[in-house]
Amino acid sequence: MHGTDQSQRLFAAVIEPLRTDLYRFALWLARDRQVAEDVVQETLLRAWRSLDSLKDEQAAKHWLLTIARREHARLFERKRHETVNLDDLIAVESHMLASEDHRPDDEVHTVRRAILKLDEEYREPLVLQVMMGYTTEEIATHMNLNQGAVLTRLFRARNRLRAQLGLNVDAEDSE
Amino acid sequence: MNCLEFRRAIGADPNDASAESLAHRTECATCAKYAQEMLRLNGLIKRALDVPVRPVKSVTMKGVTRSSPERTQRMRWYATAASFLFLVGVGGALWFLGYPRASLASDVVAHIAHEPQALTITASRVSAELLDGALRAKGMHLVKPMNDVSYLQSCVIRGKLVPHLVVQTDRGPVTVIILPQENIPGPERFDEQQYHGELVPMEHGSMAVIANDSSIVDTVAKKVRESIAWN
Repeated sequence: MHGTDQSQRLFAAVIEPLRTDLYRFALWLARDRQVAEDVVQETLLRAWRSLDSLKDEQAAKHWLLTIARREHARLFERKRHETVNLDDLIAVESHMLASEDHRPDDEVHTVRRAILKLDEEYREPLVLQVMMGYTTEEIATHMNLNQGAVLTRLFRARNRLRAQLGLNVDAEDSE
Repeated sequence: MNCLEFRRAIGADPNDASAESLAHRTECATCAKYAQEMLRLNGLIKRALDVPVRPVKSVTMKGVTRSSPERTQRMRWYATAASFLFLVGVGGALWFLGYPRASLASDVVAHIAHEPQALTITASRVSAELLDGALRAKGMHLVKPMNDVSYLQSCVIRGKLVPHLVVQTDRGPVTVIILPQENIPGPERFDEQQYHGELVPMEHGSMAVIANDSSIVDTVAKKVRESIAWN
């Protein structure tokens, strides 16, 4: 086990710089800034508590995002029990998120809204690939899927975005 | 590689540069165009994902203990026993004291102190459509426009997701939190930390109106009461 000073140095050097990536990942999972902030807080606390289980500093980002994924699932379930209208609220908040820094007639705004409408099973691998630079193999490990399933989900994610944007789409096979 | 295989490979990864993909791209103009479209779409996706990041609240790790696996196992037993004793103790104390808990005003102030970024003076406004949508999700709707709302979130207060608005006024931003589950016997003024506010009964539950300048609280409370109706 690392000493406290050593742990604080490790945390500051390896985990803290990933905070922005962690927040963006949480935000795209949750589609809600407050939930994303809660996920980040819980993830950082858990990361701190189990810092000794991080064996390879190069793997810190994957390790952190895996914790965030679990925390999001836990928080989402808890919030789902708190209200019957969570989906409605997320829809409203998604609209706000999409509008933050782009005008509604902007292409990026349109794509952002389309991504927000994707089911989580398609949104998450797309975020990991495009925003986090994950390989298919890394996404498969993170999501506990085989690589074929990841490729199918990525294809479908883009296919569904194309459909929302009014572009030609291909037929989709079952996974 | 045929056209279908190519499109599936490019659809999964527009940067796919395998020998088969490259060969097919040179042979098929339609697929080459598709690949270009997908690359362009990928660029848009990347820009769309790059949402503005608000400063994340810092986490102080000082004093937060860490655990080794053996210690975790041992601590789990202690924690279970301690939780049991704690619950018995708290339950008994609550029974004895008649269920006291922090006042509603304190809970609301604690919440807004947690989101200081909401209380900035800004020119951006929430559209009537968005505001109405958020209210409808909680069983209300707009009957009069509220053009000065600059912030809209659903927040957890006392375990319930409730609408949290910030109304911009000439005397600074004013927070309004609608609390459909919190019934109160009558209006209640409060001053906590640097905030002045009022809890106001509504048709269902209540609302909290909080400002730095107490003279604006009644005006905003009246405006909200006139602008929102229950379904």
